[in-house]
Amino acid sequence: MSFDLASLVPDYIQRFEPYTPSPPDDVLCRRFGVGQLHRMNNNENPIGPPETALEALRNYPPRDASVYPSGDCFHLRRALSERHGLEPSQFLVGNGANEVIAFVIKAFCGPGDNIVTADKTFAVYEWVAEFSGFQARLVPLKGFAFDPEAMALAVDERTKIVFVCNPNNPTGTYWDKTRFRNFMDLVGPEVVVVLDEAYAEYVEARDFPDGLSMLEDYPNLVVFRTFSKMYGLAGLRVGYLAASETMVDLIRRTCVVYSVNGLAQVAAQAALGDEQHIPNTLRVVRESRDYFCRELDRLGLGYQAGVANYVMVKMPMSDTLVYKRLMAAGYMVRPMTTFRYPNYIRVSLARLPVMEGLVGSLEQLLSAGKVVA
Amino acid sequence: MPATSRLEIPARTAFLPIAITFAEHAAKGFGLDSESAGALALATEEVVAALCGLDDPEMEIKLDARDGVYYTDLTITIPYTELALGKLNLTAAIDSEEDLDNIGWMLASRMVDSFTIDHQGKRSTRFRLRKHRQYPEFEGEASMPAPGALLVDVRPATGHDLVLFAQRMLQTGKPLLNRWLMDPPARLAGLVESGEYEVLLGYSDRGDPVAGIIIDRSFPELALLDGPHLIEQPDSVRHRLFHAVLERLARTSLTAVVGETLTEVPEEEMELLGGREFHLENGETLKTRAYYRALREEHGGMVWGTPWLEEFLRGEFRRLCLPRDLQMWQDLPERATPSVVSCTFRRHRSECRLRPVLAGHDIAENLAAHLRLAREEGYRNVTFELDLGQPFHLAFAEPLRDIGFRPGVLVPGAGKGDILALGARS
Repeated sequence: MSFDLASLVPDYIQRFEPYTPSPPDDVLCRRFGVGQLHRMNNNENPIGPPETALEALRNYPPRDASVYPSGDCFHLRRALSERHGLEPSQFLVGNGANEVIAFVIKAFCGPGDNIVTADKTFAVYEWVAEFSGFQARLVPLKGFAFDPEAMALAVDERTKIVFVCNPNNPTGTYWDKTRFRNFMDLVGPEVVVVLDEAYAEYVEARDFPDGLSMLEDYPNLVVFRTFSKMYGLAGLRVGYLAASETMVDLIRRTCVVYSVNGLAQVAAQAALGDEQHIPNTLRVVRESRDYFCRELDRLGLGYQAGVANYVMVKMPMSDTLVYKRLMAAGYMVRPMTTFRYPNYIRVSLARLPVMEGLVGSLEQLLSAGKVVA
Repeated sequence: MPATSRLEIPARTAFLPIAITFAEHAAKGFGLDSESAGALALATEEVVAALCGLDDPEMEIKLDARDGVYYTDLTITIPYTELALGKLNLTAAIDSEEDLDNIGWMLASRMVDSFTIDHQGKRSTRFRLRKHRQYPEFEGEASMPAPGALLVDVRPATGHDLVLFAQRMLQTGKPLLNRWLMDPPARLAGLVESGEYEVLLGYSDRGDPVAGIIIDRSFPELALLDGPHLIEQPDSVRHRLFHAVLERLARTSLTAVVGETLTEVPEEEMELLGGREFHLENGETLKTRAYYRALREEHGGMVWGTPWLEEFLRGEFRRLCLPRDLQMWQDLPERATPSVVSCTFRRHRSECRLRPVLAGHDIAENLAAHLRLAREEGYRNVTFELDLGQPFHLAFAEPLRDIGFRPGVLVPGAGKGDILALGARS
């Protein structure tokens, strides 16, 4: 007797396509016939984790693997509290920022509700909403930036959350303090505004708003941060949100405890104590960005550099084809059709020798001409 | 949700009148005119009668009628049986040309617009009869856009805009590979209403449709494109339409878009898969180009081949930059069961598409019979599709070579693996 399991699944799940992650590097190297693969597709830190985090990882007692970690990241939240001048109870830590996105959507959205975000931004807001059965209202970017007026107009009585990625992934644009405050005033207190600051530590502009410092002014504000980008701990999966205590108390009801492992908690806490890591990273990224933009100008390629550790490059051919050709040369970039930017690739900024190699491959690709049947 | 209706009967001739009445009434109820509904009922009669002839009175036959807006489908399903296997090939029992007229499902295929026999593994076999709805012919003259009208917006369209766009395209007199989609013009609106197609139209600053691209969304992995079609627009408009399609499909379950065109492929947007000669029903031959665009990262994988195909496949993998681990398929010891082939006949495209269902001891004879039958029936475009992700498909490769098929177009990731379409030399 066969039974159609799909009949148990809601329509919005049946319609949803599971994300297919790329195979591990050893498999990709074998398939593309390269000895080494430079990952420049996920915006990881080019210099890796802070020294303090590496030391904490080395010193982690292996036997502690048999013990459950702190269920609410007790020490890590205290370290975040000291770092940012907020109460420990204003932080909620998750298994990467992706999990934190799910916490917020589960906490606030019910049947018939919607979220508002941009059409060309980090896809996970849209995905989590849709596979949870909620409408994702996607507002077109204006130029390469979030459009505050259009976002506010998209909000209706069923909108529970507005997601603003600042700086935006993949365009690297940002709202300054004034624009952000104006937006908060425009949407009012009746909708939750999530300010995703996954790349905030990369921004050196003085007018960039620090969401954490504005929590007191806006009880409906939730700020996301992560240890995956600047702190180089993407493999350990640690992200967190900060908000008013009332807000955190509501969101934590949907939070699964023990989702952040012990090793990750220790490394993240230690990472916060390394004062040299951020300036060192910024130096490498700045140098890399300057070099890459100069070379893109020389090659005659358009680009959108932004303020984070990635650059979008406009290619005169299919981005998915460019991806394959660069993979065959040992460079893994992100084709941007999936971000609704056909013919763009997003390149994570790496150390200079890697950037030089990539530029060489781009040059070869351009000089090789078009696809010939 | 499309309207559907079902009838279940035993495979006995006594129940034949019920099946005929069911098909005719459902077709009329779903909007076919009397002539078309009658043709669908006659086709149903032929298939059900042939199934009753399998001498298995306990077998249950399911008839499902479905309103697809621009067509009515009548799908006839029977359970898989080892006994019936060989007899379910379209060409079963055809030993001479005279036998052709005795084959029920071949007769059925002549009465409908599309006829498919396919098999769901070892679960069931389906015969799908499709009759298109009649739309009023376009007579008169369509208003054409003002000279110099500039395209300012591309968006999904429905209803009257689609009819006007199709009328204009027909009036331009340009050759159309899939003329059927727009002729009669009202059909284009029906295609979109069915949910199986989307059309993005490019509008001028006066809100006038001046360009368009048709997207067939009826396949789970790939979208098939027809166009871009331009009405007095510069070539650069093609890029705008392609980009609009890509942005629309970017975060769907689709992995790629493929299309066939009579015009140059914008190489900046698409990868050229190859060309072929497409033969129209009226005897005219068009040179077409097939193109492809992945919507996601290519991660590579393992596919199967044979020594005959190896050079072609390796060349295509290199040209299209596809990381493939090509494994050589080896034949198994002699099989006892007959081979089975799925086929789809589409009369409006003079097209017969064949695919393997089961490998067997009689592949060469079976393929030859299918090719002969397709030609006898007047189909000018005969294609055999091998899924390189399914090793048993490769059992058909050398026999295909022996009767004149040659590798044509490789479509990356279109099945369990890449799909290789082989064409028959005329």
